[in-house]
Amino acid sequence: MASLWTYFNHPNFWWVLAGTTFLSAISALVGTFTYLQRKSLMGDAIAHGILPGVAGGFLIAGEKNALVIMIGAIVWGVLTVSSIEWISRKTHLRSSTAMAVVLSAFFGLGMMLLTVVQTSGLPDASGINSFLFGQAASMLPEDLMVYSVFAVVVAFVLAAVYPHLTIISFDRATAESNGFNVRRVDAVLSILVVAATAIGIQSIGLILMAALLITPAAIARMWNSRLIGMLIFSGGIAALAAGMGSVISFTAPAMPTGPWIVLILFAFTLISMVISPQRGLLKRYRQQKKNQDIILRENFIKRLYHQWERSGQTAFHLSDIEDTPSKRTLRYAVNNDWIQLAGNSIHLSEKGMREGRRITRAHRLWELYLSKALRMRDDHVHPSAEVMEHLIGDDLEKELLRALDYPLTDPHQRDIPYEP
Amino acid sequence: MSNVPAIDIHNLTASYERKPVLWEIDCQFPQGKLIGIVGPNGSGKTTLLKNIMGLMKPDSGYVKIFGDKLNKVRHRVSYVPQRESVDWDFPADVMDVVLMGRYNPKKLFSRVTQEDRDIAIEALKRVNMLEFSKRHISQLSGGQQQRVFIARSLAQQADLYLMDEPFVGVDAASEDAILSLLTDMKNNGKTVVIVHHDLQTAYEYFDYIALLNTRLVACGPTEEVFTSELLQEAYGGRLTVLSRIGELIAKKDFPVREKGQKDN
Amino acid sequence: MNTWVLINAVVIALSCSLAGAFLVLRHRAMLTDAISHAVLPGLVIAFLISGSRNTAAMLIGAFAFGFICIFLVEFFRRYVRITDDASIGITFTSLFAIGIILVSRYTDRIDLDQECVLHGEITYSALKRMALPGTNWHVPQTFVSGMAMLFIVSLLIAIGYRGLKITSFNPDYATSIGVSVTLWHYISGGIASMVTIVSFEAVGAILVIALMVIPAATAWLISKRLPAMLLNTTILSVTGSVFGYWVAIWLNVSIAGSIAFLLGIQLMVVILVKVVARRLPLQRATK
Repeated sequence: MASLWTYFNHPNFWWVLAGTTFLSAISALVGTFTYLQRKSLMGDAIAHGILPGVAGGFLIAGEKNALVIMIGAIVWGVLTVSSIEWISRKTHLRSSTAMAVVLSAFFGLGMMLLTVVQTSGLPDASGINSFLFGQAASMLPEDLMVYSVFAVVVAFVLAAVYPHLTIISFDRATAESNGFNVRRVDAVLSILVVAATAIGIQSIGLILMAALLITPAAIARMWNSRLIGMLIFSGGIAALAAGMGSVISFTAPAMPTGPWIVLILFAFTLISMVISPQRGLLKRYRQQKKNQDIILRENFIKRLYHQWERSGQTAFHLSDIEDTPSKRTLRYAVNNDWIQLAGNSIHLSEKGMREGRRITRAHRLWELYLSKALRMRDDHVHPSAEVMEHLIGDDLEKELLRALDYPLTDPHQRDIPYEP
Repeated sequence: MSNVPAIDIHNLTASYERKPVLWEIDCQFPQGKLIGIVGPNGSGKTTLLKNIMGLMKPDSGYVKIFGDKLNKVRHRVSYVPQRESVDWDFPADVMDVVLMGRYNPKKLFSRVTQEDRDIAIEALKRVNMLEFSKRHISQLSGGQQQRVFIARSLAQQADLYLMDEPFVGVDAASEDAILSLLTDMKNNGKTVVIVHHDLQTAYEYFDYIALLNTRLVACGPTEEVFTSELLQEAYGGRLTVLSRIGELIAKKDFPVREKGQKDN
Repeated sequence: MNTWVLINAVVIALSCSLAGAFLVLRHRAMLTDAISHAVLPGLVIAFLISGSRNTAAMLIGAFAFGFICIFLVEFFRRYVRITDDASIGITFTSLFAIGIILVSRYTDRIDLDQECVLHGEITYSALKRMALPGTNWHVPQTFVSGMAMLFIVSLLIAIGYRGLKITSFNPDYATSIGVSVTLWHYISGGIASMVTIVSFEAVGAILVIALMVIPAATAWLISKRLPAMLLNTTILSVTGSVFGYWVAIWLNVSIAGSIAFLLGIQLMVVILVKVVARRLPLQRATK
């Protein structure tokens, strides 16, 4: 741990840590809107297309001057966006094709300029590589100031257009038909993406900058369904990943920072995929298990009720019941006073009878509904009712009763059982 | 012509994003008729067609065509997708598209024969498009594009034709041409099933109609289905019970059939 | 000036552009972006295991990661309902990040570095030579592998022409006649992955996108039928790489970069000519 302390005492450490977390959070906020508008890959196109601006800025300044390079990046980023726009307007090529074309052609130009930089003999020429994959630790406080100023501007613009962005993110068509100037908001968002990409080039690097725009937003969506929650979450997760990435960058200076940040974000994605409360696999698995449990125990009690209907008996032997219930089902039924269990004999309680009656009623009401409202043949209605009986709760039952006008028999002329 | 129904749909439930959009559809289409699948927007007409053609997997139920599984009778069935479903800028001329009607999985690696070409020319003649055979498909009007699609379908020489909204975005001349062609096909013993959203024309066009609004409202000869009561029902909005239970199914990720249960 | 470098560039450009044509027609151009990034860890791991630039090992490694990429994209989309483009974005950036970390970590053990990943090393591609069997001709190894690649790609396209065409134009119709869209989707993706892998060393991860997408997109704008489009694609990829090579030698800059940029210029010229032609009164009269 001693070695880690030396990094904490490094004069630049806290600067870099604060800077990268802040910059990444801002970029992720912008990315949330592109995610919601399904324009995620636009970030990738911009991040690659920006290279000529970065290399050109370097050549013009003759050194690693953050301000000139930022301006170069933003100018070229806007050119990238407009070229994509121009191609998809003037030809039948879709915007995704236009993106692939523009990003690769501009990246080629960037590569040409990069070789010029490397053969230029400029003192800092090798430093330009840190823009490709990021080198957080090598950031100087004055560079950070430049990026942060841009980031603050991005944050302010974002706050100013927030209501407009919200509207077009959720209901573009309506916004458009209400005479809302969708194109202008799009243009503002594009410029924000360009700026959000440019402020990250030193910490993450432009090759992987797209991940910072896409991944935090996708993770946030798994945990939140509201926009404000998504924004807070994606900003936070990006800051966390970037912070961890810059620590790694200090401990292993030969390593580029960007890939580490992206990898940490990827790990967060995988974790969220399993445990997130909204769409996690675990949640889905549990839900399905729960559904299966409900189906099993309700079928069990329904069967007892049917046997009672036929025989008038409330006492059964376990072996008389078709489809022997599992222990889990029996335990549930006993714990909820549906039945009393003594050895292998079962006694159907008043509560269990009510439950069985409710399910049977739901089943028969649904069959009648299918037959009346959907005009299905009477011999075709059973399979669907076998499932829907487990879904129909009190509200839906009332609705069905109203729709069917409190019927007495189902399509098979069996009584629909009401509470006595 | 046998009495086996051209299409037999049995208890078919289909969903998008786990929410059912078709509920327990159960009906038969007879052979040798011009049949319309009619209903308001979003009533599941296209979904039904896609399920019949095996382009979507249903949650429950099955479809039989000429009493058999689709895979066994595929060569007797021709499908005409919605015109908007393809990119008309694709580098192909009219002839190229019609010749696609001669493709089948077994001949996928062989070359176009003179016979294929003759059949394609014949099909183009029947839709009055032969003079356009060298024209790029993006330079056709909507009605002409639709006629090219129908020519491709004719080149398949099938017995059952399923067409998704062939009258949408079509000029009056094309509409007349298509309609008389369809009547012709019917008179030659073919069965034609058409997804159609326009109630006004449906009555004149079809002999047999399935009236749809997420559930089947009616299915039968046109005169029997076109009653004000049934039309009111189909166009009078969704059933609240169905939409509520549909939401529950999606939310709770509930199946629409119990495990192991089959519709027989 | 080295003729072999130019010849290598042309051979690579030809196979890439032909393989890319069907992805462009399917509006899946950005998939090339994903594939070219995602195969990197596969290449590096194959490198580390086999200890050399063993083409077979690299193919296996890259294919494995190509499939991991496709699997993850599908998985994110279907099971956690991340939007389509975001699933692609997350997957390929993550896999590429893994690749870069491996490259930087084992930079002494493999002869690949960050720059090579981005640039490729086409300049050195002609160095290693081998004798053509039964002759005295010594040609670069990369030329032989490139020609083999070109042959395979052309063959696959010739054989699969109908399947590729019909599933690109009208997938629903293809399914309706019993042609498996998924299968052909994987075949076109597989061909694209293959050329990506073989071209990776020469032109790097990002410029391979230019070779795959730009000639095909340009050719699409000027061709009426598919055979013409494929022919124009090959012509444009040759002219683009020849001009690109000259410019690179002239200005002494990255060859791969220059080819990519020149391909972009070709596209721009075509669009401009079309835009101007549309405004000419003569054209209007005939239309």
